[in-house]
Amino acid sequence: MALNKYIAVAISVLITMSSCEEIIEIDLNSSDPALVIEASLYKDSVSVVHLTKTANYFSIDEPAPIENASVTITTGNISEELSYIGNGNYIGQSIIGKEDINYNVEIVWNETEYTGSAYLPKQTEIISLEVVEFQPPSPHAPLFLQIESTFLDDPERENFYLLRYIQNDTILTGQYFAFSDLMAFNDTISFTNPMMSFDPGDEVVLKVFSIDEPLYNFFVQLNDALSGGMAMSSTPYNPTSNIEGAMGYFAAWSYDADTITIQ
Amino acid sequence: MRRLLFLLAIYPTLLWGQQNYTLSGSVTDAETGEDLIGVTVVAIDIGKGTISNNYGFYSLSLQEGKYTIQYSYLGYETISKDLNFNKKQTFNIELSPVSIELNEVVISAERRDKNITSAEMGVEKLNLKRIAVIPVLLGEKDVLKTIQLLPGISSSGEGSTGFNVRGGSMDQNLILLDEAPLYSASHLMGFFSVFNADALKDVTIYKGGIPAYYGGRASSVLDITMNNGNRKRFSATGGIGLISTRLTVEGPILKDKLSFIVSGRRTYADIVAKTALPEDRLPDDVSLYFYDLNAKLSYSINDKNRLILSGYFGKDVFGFSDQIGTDWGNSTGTLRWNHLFSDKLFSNTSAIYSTYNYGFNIGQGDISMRLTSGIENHNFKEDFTWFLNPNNTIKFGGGATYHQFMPGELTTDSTLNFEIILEKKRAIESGIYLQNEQKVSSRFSANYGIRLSMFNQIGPGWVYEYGEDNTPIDSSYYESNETVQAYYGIEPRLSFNYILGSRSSVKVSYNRMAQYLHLLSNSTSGSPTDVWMPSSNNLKPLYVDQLALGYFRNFLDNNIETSVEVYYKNLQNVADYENGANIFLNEFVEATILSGTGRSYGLELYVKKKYGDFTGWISYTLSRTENKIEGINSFSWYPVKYDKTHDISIVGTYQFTPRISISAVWIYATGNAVTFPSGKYVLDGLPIPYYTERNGYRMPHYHRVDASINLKGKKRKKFESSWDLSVYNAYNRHNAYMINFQESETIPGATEAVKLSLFGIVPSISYNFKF
Repeated sequence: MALNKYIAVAISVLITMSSCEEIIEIDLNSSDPALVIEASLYKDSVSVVHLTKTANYFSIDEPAPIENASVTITTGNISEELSYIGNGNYIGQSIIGKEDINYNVEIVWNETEYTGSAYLPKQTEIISLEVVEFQPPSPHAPLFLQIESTFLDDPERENFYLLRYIQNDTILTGQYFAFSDLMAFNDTISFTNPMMSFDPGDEVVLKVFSIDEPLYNFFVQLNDALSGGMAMSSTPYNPTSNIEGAMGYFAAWSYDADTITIQ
Repeated sequence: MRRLLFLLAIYPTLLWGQQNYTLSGSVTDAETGEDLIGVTVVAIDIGKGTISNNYGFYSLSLQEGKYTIQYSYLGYETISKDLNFNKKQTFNIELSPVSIELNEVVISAERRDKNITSAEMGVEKLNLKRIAVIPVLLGEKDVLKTIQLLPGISSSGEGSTGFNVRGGSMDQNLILLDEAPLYSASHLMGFFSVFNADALKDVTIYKGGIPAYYGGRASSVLDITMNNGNRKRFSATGGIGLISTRLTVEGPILKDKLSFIVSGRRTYADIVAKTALPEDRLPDDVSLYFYDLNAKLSYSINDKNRLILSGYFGKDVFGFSDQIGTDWGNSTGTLRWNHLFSDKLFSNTSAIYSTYNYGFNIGQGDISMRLTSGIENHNFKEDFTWFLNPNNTIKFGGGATYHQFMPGELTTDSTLNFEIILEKKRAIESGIYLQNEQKVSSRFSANYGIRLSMFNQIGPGWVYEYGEDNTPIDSSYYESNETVQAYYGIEPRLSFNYILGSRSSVKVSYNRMAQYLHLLSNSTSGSPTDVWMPSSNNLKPLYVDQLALGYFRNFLDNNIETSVEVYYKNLQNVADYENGANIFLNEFVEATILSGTGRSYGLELYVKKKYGDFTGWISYTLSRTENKIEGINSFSWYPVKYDKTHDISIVGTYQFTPRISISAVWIYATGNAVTFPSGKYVLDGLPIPYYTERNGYRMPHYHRVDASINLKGKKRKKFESSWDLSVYNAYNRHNAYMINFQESETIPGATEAVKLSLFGIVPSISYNFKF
């Protein structure tokens, strides 16, 4: 036992003396500013588009808004040019998002045209939200309180979803939970997010967005970009936008929302 | 040129008519009965000779006459025999190890001037007896980390056993253990190799001039042979280190006929920690270990026949109770039959099995999930060595391998009722070869041969064709054993040596290699989750042409060897992933692989002091490896991840007394090529890195010093022991293992680069024994 303790101490010392993290200075190239698009068309709403530019990686300035672009939304034979309302935001008036309809966006900036399209899927319906307990493998780790959501899945078509959590009026960002209907069972999907744990008394709003496949692929890749390492992990890359030549996305989506208070 | 090739081809037959007698036999260690590989057998009167093969067998044809035959092997006493040679004769020779410790350098088990006289190029043979003095991480002696100190061979990452040879990726290394290919040669995420040095007899790496009897990988061959087991007496070897204990037991079952060896190693970090640490620091049900088991039986049936059965079993386990766990490991088995058709014709017949499997479990109560993947193959091969005459040794043979690939299965219990099962893939890889090692004149020698390889992807299974957006546009089903796609390879292997004088020579080699297997990996240094895939209708084989030129010069009576080698490689069908490729459980993963051309070129300098109290070497490699693939970096040349411009190793050992030696290693390398952001943008309030170029940046340069002291115990008649005290990264440099770009935790809106260093200074101690 004495030997064991000695070796355990030695191992602890080794681990302590080993891995460490430190902030370093690195010279990164300055790239030409590229167009960044956040374009949304919700079911029963007008379209909203936010345009900014890419910046140097270590810049602490707010992203530069784009004021002089032309933004047009089209569906079928109907088009409308969005109005600029300041700070890089453009808003529509006449085209309202409807389920099962395709939409196109066209943006002209610096004499370059960027186009994309999106399909607005049918809205799902949340059947239930329940709090489930999860005890991590270590007996000394705290109990996890998680939310199991169950919602309808249309078996007649291939569906894609994106979940967003709002905890006590704060949108939880940093990770995107996008998944396909591969886990559907009896026309429903039950999903418990293993990364999200809440505290008793929290009020949580869960939004289940129905999205199309290109947007699903974009958010999967965006999540990869946010969580991936650099040197030892997969080669980093820009998530593939559904707007050719630009960063960002054009989303046409519907969602259902429900609220649960953690007990 | 044609005339020269014709003469080379018919030269052996021109000699056929002469009346020769043959001297043949085997050479073994007098103390253990182990076969000795590479023993020089020479008729010193006329300077004709040969060397023993991988099974200790030799054959030398001479004209009638009186000769003095000398058997010499580094570290063993030389034996000379006077022969009146008028009939064929068989001598089985036992050589005794020299009692005085030789201070030969680790990288050598050959005759003193073999680097000058041999036509081999780009080949190194490790002396396992002396590997123990090289300091390594946590004191675990490791052949894979030692070969990384050679020119042209670089480490794939901090503390990693993964290696890259002359610009080749890790999957381009053919790693053989008793002829069985190992598909993952590392433990514990790559920090330790699967090779327990106590069980090994011979380690040879070919980085160029690869002989025709090897095939299947594009860059290198690491051929490792296990000990056969002591035929004379029972003995045990072992050691206790900070993280593992190892024990080897060997001995005769029937003296001089049947021997065995069993060698095991297990890490015990979890056992020690569980018993010694407070309960709240580590739960009782944690598992964190790996083990290796090597076993071998060798049976000499008679003078002409021998059977050898060997196997390796290794596994890594990491988990918490039965809730979360991962395990992976190799298993191999080799059955060989050595047969002498005559005193000139040696054959080896091998039946080989090898498998690698990975598993990951997660579950609680009725909800559980298991992910598995793997590869399995069965191989049969036949190799002949024909000792035609002292100037020509012809090797020929062939073999076939049946591969079965398990790309991945995700299964769940009945509650989840969910599964993803990727279809198994199958292929048959076969090849035949012919090679001659010819001494053309006293100054000119040549190894020349050719390998003809064939690869058939076979059914059953679905085969897809893909459109521009990587989605399947057509599919076909193939029945069992039906050929889906066939590929062929014509692989010439040439190596020539011209001796300029007694101390120098120039060598040139050319080889073409075909590789039909591909490793899908998203890491530079390898991961247990990596998946092997066959060439297919969508994934073409990799073909590599390598041309190398070298000048070799020895000084001070062969005490100091120097060499300069330059090489150029051309790679066809080199693969890389498209942006955002998903290689995890992706049935259509082939569609995400882009193919193009590659090139690698470099200069290698090597200075080695082989004898004396101070031994060691300096190796320097200047190299560049680039790919050009449509869809990446605007179809321009870009460096591969493991490209390192400069790579320097300085290794030194000083023997203070017969019982005390110190060693030190200094390593410097340019940082790997890496993809860093050249900007950022904001989505949903989050800063997102913006990339403009793949592998356009470099990691910080890497360097460290390791040092060790080896203290031998007082030598007793039946017991030997030693202590190794070593320090890894002695000046505690924080080398970058990974650099992450992330949002600052202290300055709102700011982003920063964070360097992760894996190992600072790491001391270790181990105790070794033998009786």
